[in-house]
Amino acid sequence: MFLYTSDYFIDRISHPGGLSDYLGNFFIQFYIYSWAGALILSSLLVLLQIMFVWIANRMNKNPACYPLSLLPAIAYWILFCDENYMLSGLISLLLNLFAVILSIKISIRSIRLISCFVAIPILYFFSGGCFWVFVIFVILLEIYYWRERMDSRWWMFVLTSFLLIVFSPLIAKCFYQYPLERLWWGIGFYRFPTIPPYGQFFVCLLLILIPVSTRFFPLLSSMKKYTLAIILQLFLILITGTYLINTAANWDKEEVMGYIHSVQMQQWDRILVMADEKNPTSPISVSCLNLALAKKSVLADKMFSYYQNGVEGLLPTFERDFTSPLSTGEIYYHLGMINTAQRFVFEAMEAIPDYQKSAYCFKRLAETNIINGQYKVAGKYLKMLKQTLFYRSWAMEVLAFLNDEEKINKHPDWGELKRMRFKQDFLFSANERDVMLGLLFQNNKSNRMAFEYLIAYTLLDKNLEHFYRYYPLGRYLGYNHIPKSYQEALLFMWCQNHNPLRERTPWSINPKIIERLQGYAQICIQQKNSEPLLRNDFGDTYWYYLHFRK
Amino acid sequence: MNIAKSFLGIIFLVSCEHVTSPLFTNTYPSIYPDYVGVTIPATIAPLNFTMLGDGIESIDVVVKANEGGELHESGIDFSFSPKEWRKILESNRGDSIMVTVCVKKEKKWIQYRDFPLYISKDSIDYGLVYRLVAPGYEVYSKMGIYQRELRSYTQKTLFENTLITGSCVNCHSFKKASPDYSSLHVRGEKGATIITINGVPEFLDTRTESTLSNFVYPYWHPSGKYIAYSVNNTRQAFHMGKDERVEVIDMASDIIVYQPNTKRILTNSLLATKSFETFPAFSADGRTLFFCSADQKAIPEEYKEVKYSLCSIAFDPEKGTFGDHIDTLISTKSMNKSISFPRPSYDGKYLMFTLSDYGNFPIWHKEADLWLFNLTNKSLKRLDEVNSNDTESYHSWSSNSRWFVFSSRRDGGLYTRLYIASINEDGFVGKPFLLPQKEPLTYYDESVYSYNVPEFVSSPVKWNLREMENGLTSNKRTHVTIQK
Repeated sequence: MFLYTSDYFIDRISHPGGLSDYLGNFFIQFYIYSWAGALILSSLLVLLQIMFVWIANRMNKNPACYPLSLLPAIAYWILFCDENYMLSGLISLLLNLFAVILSIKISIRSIRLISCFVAIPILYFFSGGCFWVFVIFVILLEIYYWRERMDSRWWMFVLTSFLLIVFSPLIAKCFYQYPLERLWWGIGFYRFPTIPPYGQFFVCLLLILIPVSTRFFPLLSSMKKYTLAIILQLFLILITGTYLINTAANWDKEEVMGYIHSVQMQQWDRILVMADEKNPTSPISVSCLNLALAKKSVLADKMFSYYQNGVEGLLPTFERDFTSPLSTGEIYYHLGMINTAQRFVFEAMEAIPDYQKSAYCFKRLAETNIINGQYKVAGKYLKMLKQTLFYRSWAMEVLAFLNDEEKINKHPDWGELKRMRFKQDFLFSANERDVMLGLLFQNNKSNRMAFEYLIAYTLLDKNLEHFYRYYPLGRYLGYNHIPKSYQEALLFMWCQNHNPLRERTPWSINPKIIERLQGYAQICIQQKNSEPLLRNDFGDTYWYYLHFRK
Repeated sequence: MNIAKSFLGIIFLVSCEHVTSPLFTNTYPSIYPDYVGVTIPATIAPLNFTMLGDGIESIDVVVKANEGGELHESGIDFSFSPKEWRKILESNRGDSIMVTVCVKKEKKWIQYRDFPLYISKDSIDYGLVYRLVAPGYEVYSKMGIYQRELRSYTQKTLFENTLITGSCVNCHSFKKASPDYSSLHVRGEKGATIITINGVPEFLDTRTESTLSNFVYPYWHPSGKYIAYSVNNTRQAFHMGKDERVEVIDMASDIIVYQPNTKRILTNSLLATKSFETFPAFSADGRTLFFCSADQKAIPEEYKEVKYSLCSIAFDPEKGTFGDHIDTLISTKSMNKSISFPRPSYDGKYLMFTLSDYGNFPIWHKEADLWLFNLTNKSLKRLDEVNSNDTESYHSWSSNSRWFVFSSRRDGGLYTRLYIASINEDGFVGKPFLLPQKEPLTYYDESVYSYNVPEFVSSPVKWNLREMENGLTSNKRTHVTIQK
């Protein structure tokens, strides 16, 4: 969450690396649009390359080595495939490179050295753990660009600069309650505080080693050799870079994050398109898909057309992380289990490892508190969201709803959820989610989603007895046909004791489903290892799930 | 120089608006925080406040004292000058000062009814120590233990969990507000109970095979030679109804007394029964151990039937032994309610507790209120002077027993704030005041933390953070043993 207030600014910059943090959060707020996030990342990586080239050319102008200047930016791109590398780390690097560029503008040696010396602690405080890169570059530039004599002033500067590198975090330790190692490597550069940002060290080393090592490369006078060198380097960088980026990206995680994001944005159609392109299999992704199916009123018909992995793919158990409770909380929210939705989103926010807050979570908390009539609490969150860029107008609009019961009741979402939420209090029971769904439906018999989740729970749990008991509860929900998965389950149960060829089922079962069950049964009886064949032809049926999915 | 001063003076005069022809209204101003008629110590930081309502163009505040002295502030956002404030309060100890508030709306001034601030003659301790933590469920993020100087707005970080990543800190406790004797739990991978006596910290592993858990709720013996703790097996449950959130339930609990100089745990079978014994607190003379006790019930089915009585057992501090029977001072059967956080005043006169419908974690109970038990005449009194329609929960006494601080959720219902109230030698309780801040409305609005376990301290806490960090990260622990 990025707030446009002076208090937020002061709070963020009041620790080493705070300015990097602040600027990082400023840019991250635009990630609400994925295209904006991509644009920001690519622009900053290009800026990294441009600044690096500018500096490296002052140390060693070897045009044939130009493609090597892409390496730090590509290396950082690879780092960003791990979503826990924070933007503040890259910004810290950019701030230090910018400081190096500024230092080159100072031609008078004594002024330059004094300015650089003064800049070291300032850079440490504002940019954080990459500040030593500035010192190394200044020293190298003194040698290779300014070509100054290594006199006593020079050695004094080198010695005191290294002492400042060592002592800045040690002095910071007297004022800030962080482990010394975090004060060294940067407080907010990696989301998990106990893990050092090794990758960033590597990029910093690349930045330093490339211009130093290329000094030993020969200058190519022949145009042919120059062109060949460029092409070869670009080719190797392209192949290696593509491979490394592809390997570094965790596509499974990307898929899960894509589903979670789409749930948060309530992009149900998009989720269905994603699932049609590639069937999700992780419980969180499947739970997001099931939510989308329910919101499009096709859960009961289509759920088994997709991979299902049991009740965890319907209502996942609470996990203490900062992503899965977000989507699971959304499921509870849309069901009308407002307290649980509130809890999940609060926990997700508290689980953020670097203690940042989330504007999205504040929004959802404001809504759950409005629905529950906790207007003062909602007001608190809304006033904070008023200080953001993307939630400001929404917050201002919603502030007008506070304390106006009539207006809230008329709201298409909140009014409905107020009517659907529990009227009686009881304690949440993770082992009795089906019971809670049943109670929720009893609470408001127009809560179709609660009914469908209850039935889906019984089917996924392979509890046909409960399915049969609860199924009639939905008769007044306005179905114009028995949903496909229910027909399949009913027919299957019927066939345990009846012959569907001779006896009519008491329900309106589609003849095609009867036919399919016959085909299914035939294969089961006739084929020894029938699973692969059944998966191909009947993988979209409840029968296949019942028999083969664990 | 004189010309510059005159120039500045002219600018000041031009920029200050004077109240002209105000319309009088016989109502008190609607201010936040509500400081109308509160009783305050003479050394408290300025009670800055904001006028609530829309369309306010300017505020004019005049503070006048009987013993002379006047303070005048104005502007849309004003704050009292700390120096002038201190002067007027000190010179009116034991008396009252009157505050006149005028507000300009639609170019017209409105003058509200003057309200008093009562300046107690009783002094208050140096500061408060509390935990700041988000009012969450099971997962926690940033939290810490902080010290607030009461004569200013200065808040100092004593221990933040950024120092030991992923840790949880709780249950800080001092011996009669003396920071020279402190106990603090740090939970997590590098957890320990840190007992600091006269600047020397000790890192304890408080788990034993015979006790239920690590040490939990602490209370120092007045001699400093013992600390009573509960040991609890606790779990959380979550409500589904709109007006509730969390239930914290003990599955089992007992009481022990720890002796720092021997590293031994003193136990007694009367304090480790099937019943739930918890919240130990020594009397002012150290010869009685108060605690809460509830009959064991099936959890979670009967969680609403768990109701704690106030009990006591004799304690011999010379021998470190307990009495042979338990006295029930206030039975849950008589009140059909549950008692938590018994806190005797240090002068031996009273015992304050929190009363709720059931259970022992009243911060999540809106109906929780503060009650006062007179230890001399055994009378009970609900503290209507300080209670609200929302939660009043944890509380503690100042070292002179003339003030108490308590947690309240009256400001919104979720984020706990601290209120301080006076109680004089006759037992008269003054209207409590919210812990002052420089810009209270903005501060409390923007804070996403709850104040937890407020404790008075008579002087600044001097924990050695380097020693604490080194001690926690070293994993060397002193193991406590049970005294046979």
